[in-house]
Amino acid sequence: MSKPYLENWDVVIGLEIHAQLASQTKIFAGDSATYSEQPNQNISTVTLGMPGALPVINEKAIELSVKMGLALGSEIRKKSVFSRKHYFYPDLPKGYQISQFDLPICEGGEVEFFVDGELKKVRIERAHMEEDAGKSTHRGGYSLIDYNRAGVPLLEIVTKPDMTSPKEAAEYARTVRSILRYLEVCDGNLEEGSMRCDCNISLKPKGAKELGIRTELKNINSFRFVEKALEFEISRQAALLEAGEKILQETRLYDSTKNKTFSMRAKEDAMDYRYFPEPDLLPAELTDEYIQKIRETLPELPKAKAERFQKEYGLPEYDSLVMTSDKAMSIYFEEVAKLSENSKAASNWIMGELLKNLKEDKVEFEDIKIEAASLAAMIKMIDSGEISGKIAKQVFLEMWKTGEDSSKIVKSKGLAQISDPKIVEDIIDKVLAASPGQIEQYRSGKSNLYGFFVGQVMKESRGQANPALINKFLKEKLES
Amino acid sequence: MFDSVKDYHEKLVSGEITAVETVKSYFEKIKSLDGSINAFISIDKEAAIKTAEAVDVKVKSGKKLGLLEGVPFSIKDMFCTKGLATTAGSRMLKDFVPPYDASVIKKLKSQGGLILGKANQDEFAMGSSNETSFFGPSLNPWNKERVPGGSSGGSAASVAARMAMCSFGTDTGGSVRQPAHFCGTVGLKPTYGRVSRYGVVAFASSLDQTGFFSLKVEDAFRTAQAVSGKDSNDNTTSSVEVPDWLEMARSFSGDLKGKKIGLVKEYEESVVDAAVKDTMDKAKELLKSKGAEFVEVSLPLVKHGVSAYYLVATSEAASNLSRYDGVRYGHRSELAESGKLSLEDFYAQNRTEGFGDEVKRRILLGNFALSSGYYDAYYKKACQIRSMIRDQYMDAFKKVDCILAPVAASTAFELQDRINDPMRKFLNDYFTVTVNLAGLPGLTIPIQKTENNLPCGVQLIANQFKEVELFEVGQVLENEFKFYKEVPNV
Amino acid sequence: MGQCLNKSMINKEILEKAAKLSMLKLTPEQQDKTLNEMSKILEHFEELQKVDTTGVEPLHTPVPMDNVWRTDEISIEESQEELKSILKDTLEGQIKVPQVV
Repeated sequence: MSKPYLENWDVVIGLEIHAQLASQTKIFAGDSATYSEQPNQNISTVTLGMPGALPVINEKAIELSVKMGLALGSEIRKKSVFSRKHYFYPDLPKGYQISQFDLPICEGGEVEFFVDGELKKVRIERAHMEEDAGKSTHRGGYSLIDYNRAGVPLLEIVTKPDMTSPKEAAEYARTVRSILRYLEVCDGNLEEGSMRCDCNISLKPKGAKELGIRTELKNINSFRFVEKALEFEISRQAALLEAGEKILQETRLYDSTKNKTFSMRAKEDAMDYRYFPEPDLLPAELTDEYIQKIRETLPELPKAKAERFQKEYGLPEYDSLVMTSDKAMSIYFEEVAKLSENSKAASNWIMGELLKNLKEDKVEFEDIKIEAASLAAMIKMIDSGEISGKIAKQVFLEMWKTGEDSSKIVKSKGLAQISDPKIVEDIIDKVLAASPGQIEQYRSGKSNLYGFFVGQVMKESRGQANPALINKFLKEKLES
Repeated sequence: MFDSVKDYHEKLVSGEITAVETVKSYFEKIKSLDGSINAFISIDKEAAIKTAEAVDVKVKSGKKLGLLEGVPFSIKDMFCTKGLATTAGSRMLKDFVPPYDASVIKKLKSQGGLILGKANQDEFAMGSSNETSFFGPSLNPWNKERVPGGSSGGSAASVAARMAMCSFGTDTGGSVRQPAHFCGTVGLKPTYGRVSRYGVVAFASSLDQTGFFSLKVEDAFRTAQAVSGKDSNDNTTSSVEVPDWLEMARSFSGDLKGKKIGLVKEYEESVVDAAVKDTMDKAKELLKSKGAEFVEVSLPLVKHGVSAYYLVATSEAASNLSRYDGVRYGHRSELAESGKLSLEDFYAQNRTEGFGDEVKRRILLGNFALSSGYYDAYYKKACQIRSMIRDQYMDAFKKVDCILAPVAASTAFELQDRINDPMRKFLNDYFTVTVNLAGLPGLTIPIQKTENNLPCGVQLIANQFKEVELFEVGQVLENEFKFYKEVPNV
Repeated sequence: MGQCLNKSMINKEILEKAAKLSMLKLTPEQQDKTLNEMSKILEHFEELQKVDTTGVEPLHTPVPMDNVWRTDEISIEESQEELKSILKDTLEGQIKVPQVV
């Protein structure tokens, strides 16, 4: 049972994730949806909301939404309706956003993940399709609008308020991202904005049934900030509630430099969006065959893969989850495991040295230089005794930096373990010859000097002398 | 000048006349008459003559003529015409020049049609008298103290005054059928979904449909045939085949034996105007004599049609007009130049200045009907009643082939007469709105001139996709009454 | 759920809310005139409440249609220059508006 986050309060968190779908064109128009440097390049009569322009739905947006819905375990609605959501803002060309209101394409579902070794389940409320707005840049006294992004397809995934800690929320978001990337539905880049996370958070007295007033946190562009923003917000709300004050229902933005949330608007009037069914579009009607066809294109999903890794490779549950959290990493692991025939070692090296370097150097998994075959070969060399575990660490670092093949590195740097008994014996003789005093002391009872001799042999052999052989000969020679 | 487009084409082919001569004579007419009618917001002489020249070349070459080859049209200013200002009768779009053609305009051009100019209309198609136009009211060519009807007033007036051979209008609640009736022309509104709405300024998306004006029934159908059909740019167009209405025109015998024509009890009960009653009686008499059988049908819910219509139309309109904010295009207040307006004021100033009173009223009503707490009682309720009205019509069409009804409560009324009375304004549309609610096709046939030199027509309504019924009955009426022979003395 | 209004319930406050949602400014005279008109209109709409619509699905598109989806391929008819020709105040290729607060 995990420790509750706060003493007196229950934390209730729900997340809304907006994922930009990986299509060529906009959701309702035929202009390009891929990133463009120049502003206002990806435009059309529909995107600019010109008189008489009409939306026509992009089949890819439906396909990718259904795909994600199936991966989330959602029920795919066979008839989903588009709705208009009205508000005025310069980056919203029509004065309304085409979204889905009471009949979204996906309903229900669940996401599982681990937090501190404990299995968590977060229920999905719904997922619906909608169009993205343009981008506004604010200068002094005026704002500039670029409509390239207006009309890009989005899938908005909404959870039930099931999360109870900032860490859980961040982990949930990471898990959703990994699923999105597994499916190639969205590239899940928080920094660039292809995936956006909004958090809803409220506190209630411990054990109380009724939920408290919640605030919405926006503009969080990394998983780390998701955690930090929520942490700040929790303490802010707790302080207010403990002082007997009320929480204002509002939207707040996160400032990462100050590590604070601040109110987005001085006074927030609840916006009346006046939803009604979009009369320019027919409901999206899907057949069982269509849904089944998409189901058949689903790749092995992280959870199923993790379970398979546990069975096939004997990985412990936690390891399997880490290994499958990133599709590229999971593929890498399998290759290394198969080629090296040592899945435990493969897992250790990936979860240990590899991830460590990945984090330090801030590299994406796709960009690592170490070939799977090379790492597998290195593991094999350890297992065969060709190199020691210690030497392997050196080899690994060299591979990481240069991407060179492990056997080449071992050869060129002469790092192979010395397993020729004659050579080892010679080195031992050399060391013993140079340390008569210590031999004297050892023979007179200081048995802990044994380590000294081993160390010297290692030094002399640049760490490459085979430890088993050292032990075999050293003891003999010392006792004789 | 010409009896029909068919007659015009025959004369072109025979060399009796050229397209350029024809177009020039229309422009002459416009020059001499439109000052007092104001049917046109803009004209495009150069482009029209250029197109006419190309037509003459085509005629000489012996190539097959398009359905609308060389036909001079006036186009209601709701249709986006590339390179030609498209104002929707509003200050908001007074300088808007679209870089694209509406799909129907593309089709018109591909069939050889040419555009004389953009026709006057009520602002954003909201009105029944063409009095809300930013460009001033259009007048009825038969009696210049009267309105031509609306919202496609300029379209009707231009055809009636022989300033255009045919015209495009839009019909959301009667805006083609009613001005046709007021101006003594044919007015056809096809089934919802027959004609693409892409590039047509949207008023109420689920009600709007392009409609056609002409002097003769066959020309309205010819035009409809030329521009109807499924459009990939408009998800709300139907894939039901467009019949060859022209072929039907050629082969129609004129015999109505066995034809069952419905009379709607609730409409019949509402006729009070003497001219309308007399016109309806004459039409009934004629049709009976041609073998038609009249059947009484009842549509009890049509008495709620106007309310349901207004709720649906204003809600969709309020939404559709949200895009007019001066940000990307459209009217921007001069105050905006000063840089002293906040964003909210910028929006409010642009829109308040850009829209006329009637449009503003409807936007307010529409947003109110959609707003939280009122949505169920207003918009949703109206949509439910809409469904029931449609079902009642469907039931009626099991018993009859088409319905005969009045077009409006009266003939053309005087200018300023209805403008300040919202309820009377509404009830103007009593006979026409339910046709749009149910997505049905409707046709106005002019029958006779009545008091004050005002034309009076009747309305025919058919089931979805059954425009052929309108054609047959309409053609019989036209063959008898020949209103196209009447010419207003402008 | 929803309220239905009788004449006395459409008031200045409700009209102001509608004006805000519509981004429209009304002068006091216009407010009075509009209130007057709207009350009459809403009174007329009351008749709809008398109709029993239990179980009736609201109708949005009056004619049955086939759903046709667009293939995910770029297709725009107009050139960028043509589309941009209508844009109002631009700076650095972007549209300029008063600052969003």
